[in-house]
Amino acid sequence: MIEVRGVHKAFGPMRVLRGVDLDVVDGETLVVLGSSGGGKSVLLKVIAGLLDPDAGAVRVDGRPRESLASLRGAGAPGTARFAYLFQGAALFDSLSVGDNVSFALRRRGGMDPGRLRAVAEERLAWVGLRGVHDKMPAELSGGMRKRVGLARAIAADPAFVLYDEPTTGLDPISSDAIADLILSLQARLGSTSIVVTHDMALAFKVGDRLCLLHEGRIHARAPREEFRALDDAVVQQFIHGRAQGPIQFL
Amino acid sequence: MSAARGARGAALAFLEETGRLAEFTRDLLAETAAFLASPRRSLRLDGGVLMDQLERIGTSSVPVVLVTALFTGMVLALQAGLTLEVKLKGVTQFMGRTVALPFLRELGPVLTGLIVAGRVGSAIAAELGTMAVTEQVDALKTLGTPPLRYLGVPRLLACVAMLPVLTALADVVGLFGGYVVASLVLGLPANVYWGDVPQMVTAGDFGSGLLKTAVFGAIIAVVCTYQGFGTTGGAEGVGRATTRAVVWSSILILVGDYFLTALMGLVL
Repeated sequence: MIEVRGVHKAFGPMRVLRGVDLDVVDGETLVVLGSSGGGKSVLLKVIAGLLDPDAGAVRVDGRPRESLASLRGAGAPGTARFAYLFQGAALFDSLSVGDNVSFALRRRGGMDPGRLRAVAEERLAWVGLRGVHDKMPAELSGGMRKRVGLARAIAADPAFVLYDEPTTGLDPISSDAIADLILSLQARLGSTSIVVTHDMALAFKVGDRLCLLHEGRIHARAPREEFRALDDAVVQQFIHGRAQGPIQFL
Repeated sequence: MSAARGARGAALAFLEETGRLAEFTRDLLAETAAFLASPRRSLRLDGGVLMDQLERIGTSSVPVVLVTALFTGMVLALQAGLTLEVKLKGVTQFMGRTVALPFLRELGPVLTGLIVAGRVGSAIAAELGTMAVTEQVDALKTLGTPPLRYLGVPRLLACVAMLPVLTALADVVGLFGGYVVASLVLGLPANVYWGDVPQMVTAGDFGSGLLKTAVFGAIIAVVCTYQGFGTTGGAEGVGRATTRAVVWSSILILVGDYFLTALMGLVL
């Protein structure tokens, strides 16, 4: 279980998170909605440990989340339990697709090259990619890069999967395919997931619960169908994508 | 009043930046010590990256370093020849030492350092900067790999190891370039050019130059990885970081050269 308590984060004068409280229950998929630039990715990075909060805390299974904020961080044992799908996939340009996917397992040691290749090809197959093991990331389309990023993230069987805008920049069909992929991985791994997005189709397809981050706080949260019916002007404006309403267009 | 406030702000920003660089250097050295403390495990994990950096920083820099050394040796001999022949009326028997001593002590190490700072330092800053702005550095962390260990340590070790090797090659080629000019342009016999070099040039002259370049290698690696990791702001940020990396490593090489020379003068 992930518990977020009173998290504040500012960058200079810009107060992005202003006291976020959030619980993510084991096995669920929580979708965090919010406007562009509203702090969703910052919240996800605080949960992942990539950013330290100015105030407040993140606890995982009752223990404080290890910080990965410094360039020396990352060796902590809890790191392997988290997987992070970056907005731009963040594949290592200098490594092949297969080496990207098996990166964490290779560094952990204990697997021969043949086994590493087999695991990488299996994870690539899980995300619907075959015959790309030896390609370089530059040879792939945007959608394929996201899939490889996902295969890399789940290679070490994580307990928690964090998705940062998984459908940004993709066409509707590719976006739906990514949504199906998230559901199938959820069923296969049984992991706990947090999906940060402003893609409403994705949110209502994969989310067990949805919440809306507005003005640096969690404004509303509810199970999927209840969220859709919430009698709240901010939520309804966001769901229907209207420019007029309490959410100011920046 | 506002000028004073501006100067105070600039001084504070400089001190903050220096503090961050010192902290970064401490962390990089600590990671390097940890790498060297368990060499078998380190080489199993990062041996491939280290070999790649040795090749990129060392082998690939050989042509440009040698061409620079050759022509620097040649022009040094030409200047020395003209001075000794014309102004000092034919004391060309000092030609060999006049080329060798400044080349081994100063020109070889400093020129090699500056060339590597430009060629390799810019590449280090640009590559790490691109990785930082495309979240590849964060991705390393989420995959359980400290970026300083995976990206910083191999570059530091490769720079410190390869700069002396490149300098040694530059020294040999620079002296040979001087000999070519002395022989073909000024008509000096080989025994005159090389005659008193073994007596005048000591192992200390050669060794002090190599020792300096190991420090220059560390300067290049620390400054350029620091700038690379600290990159923000997309492609423009990568450009700024690369420029800062080359400018600061070049300046620190020249400043460091003065203090190292002074220190070695006291010790040697």
